[in-house]
Amino acid sequence: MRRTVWTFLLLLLIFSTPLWARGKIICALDLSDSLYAAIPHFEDEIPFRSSNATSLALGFFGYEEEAFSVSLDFHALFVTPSIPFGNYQGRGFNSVGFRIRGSHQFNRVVGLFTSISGEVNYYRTIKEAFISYSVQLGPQFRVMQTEQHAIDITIPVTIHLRKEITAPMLGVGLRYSLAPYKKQETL
Amino acid sequence: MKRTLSFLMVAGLLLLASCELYLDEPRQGDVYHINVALDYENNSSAKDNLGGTLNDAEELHLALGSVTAGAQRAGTGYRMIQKGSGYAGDHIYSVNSTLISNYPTKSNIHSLLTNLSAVVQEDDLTIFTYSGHGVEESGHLVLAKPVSTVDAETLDPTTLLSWMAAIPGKKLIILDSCYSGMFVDGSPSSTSTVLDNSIQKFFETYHSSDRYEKPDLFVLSASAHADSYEMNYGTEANEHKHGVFTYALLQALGWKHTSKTDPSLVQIFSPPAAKWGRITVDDLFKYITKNQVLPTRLRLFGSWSEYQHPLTTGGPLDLALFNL
Repeated sequence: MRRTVWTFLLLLLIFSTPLWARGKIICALDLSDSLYAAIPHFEDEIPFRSSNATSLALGFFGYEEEAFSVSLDFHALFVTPSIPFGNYQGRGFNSVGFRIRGSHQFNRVVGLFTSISGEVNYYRTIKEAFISYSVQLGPQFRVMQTEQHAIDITIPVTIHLRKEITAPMLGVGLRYSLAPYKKQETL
Repeated sequence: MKRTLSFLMVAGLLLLASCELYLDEPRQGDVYHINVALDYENNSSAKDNLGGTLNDAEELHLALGSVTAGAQRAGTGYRMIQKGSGYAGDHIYSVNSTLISNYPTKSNIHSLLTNLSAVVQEDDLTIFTYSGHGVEESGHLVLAKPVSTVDAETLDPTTLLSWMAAIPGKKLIILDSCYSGMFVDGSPSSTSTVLDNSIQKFFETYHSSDRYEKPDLFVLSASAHADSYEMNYGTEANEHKHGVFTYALLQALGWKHTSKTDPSLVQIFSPPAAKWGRITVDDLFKYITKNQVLPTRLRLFGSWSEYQHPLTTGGPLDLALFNL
């Protein structure tokens, strides 16, 4: 198992080298806040229960070309308990996981991003855990760009796929990208 | 300015999209609570006597009554008590026109719960509390001996859960006994990390075919799969014992021991476990795990050699008990 991982990493390193000549390595910090609408797969008192979800992602390995970028992000999500209603209240939880994020810039300002992720979630109060998957899509608007830094305002639309709940999330966010190594000009 | 306005408009729209804000809440009905406690002094051995269980039941009876009144709901309480050396209760309840002794044998408890199921309505809340012994590993509750010549009866989790499930409305079982976590059914959608902390189990739960249904019966237990303890909260001369779990639960409900012996002199304050004017099962659970005297897990450099970790019904939903 360990040998397979090392072989994979080595191949990744070899084949990604030509890419480095064309694009640049980026790191990113992504923060967003969303309405979390938990639509139950079971019978409940209301169609969905509303919570607030704050997401924090750290893209420690990303690659960016002129109009396209892809990154592997460490992702954390903090969901509050739902607004109390009737005899029940949705439990709040924290999540951690990894996501693969890709984006395409249509022009200097407008772009589109998408991601898929898998998470381990933890009900804070009762110490129960569960896994889930997420898909995300949304527009991003570049508000600042220099050779090394970029800031985008994002409107993430996320579908959080839990076993007993499907939760669409709509929010606003901010993404800061840093290209730590300046690209060398070639002759 | 325009940007701020646009942001506020989007935030406002999102808030309005929350259907909790414009749908009528279901009515919360009456509250019934049954407080069972045994001191086991009528057993042949004095080794298994418990000094805090009767205090648990008496004070929970008053505290739950007080919180029920605070929530402006009608409440009815039943004390099922085995006290001292006798084999009979000191009170007869009339439930659904059936007379039931408050001596906590298996048949009396069954009769009380069965007759309650004919009285309780769909929007009511029934709370069952038990303070006493739990059998090692199985968690079976040890009930009163009907007569001196027979062994004590035990009540297994499946039977109690089925009796409570037959009662309409919302139900909560609160158990302060050893191995009481055996009464907490595993959730089909999440895994307790107190009992099983493997990521493989998380995946198995996610991909299993078991479906989550909204539960109307919740369990709150003193310990997961270990012993639970009682302590003296009074002085050496003026002893006043409680279960460690129940003492924290009483505090969560606003009960303060200004007098250590006479429950009628105890002041009841606004429940500190309440959040936003509500008390939920999770609020009680959180308060207890934070405030109980014993730690929830064994600590290498801790001052206690004992620990007990409460457990409650899992899954995505928490049960709201009282709107204050």
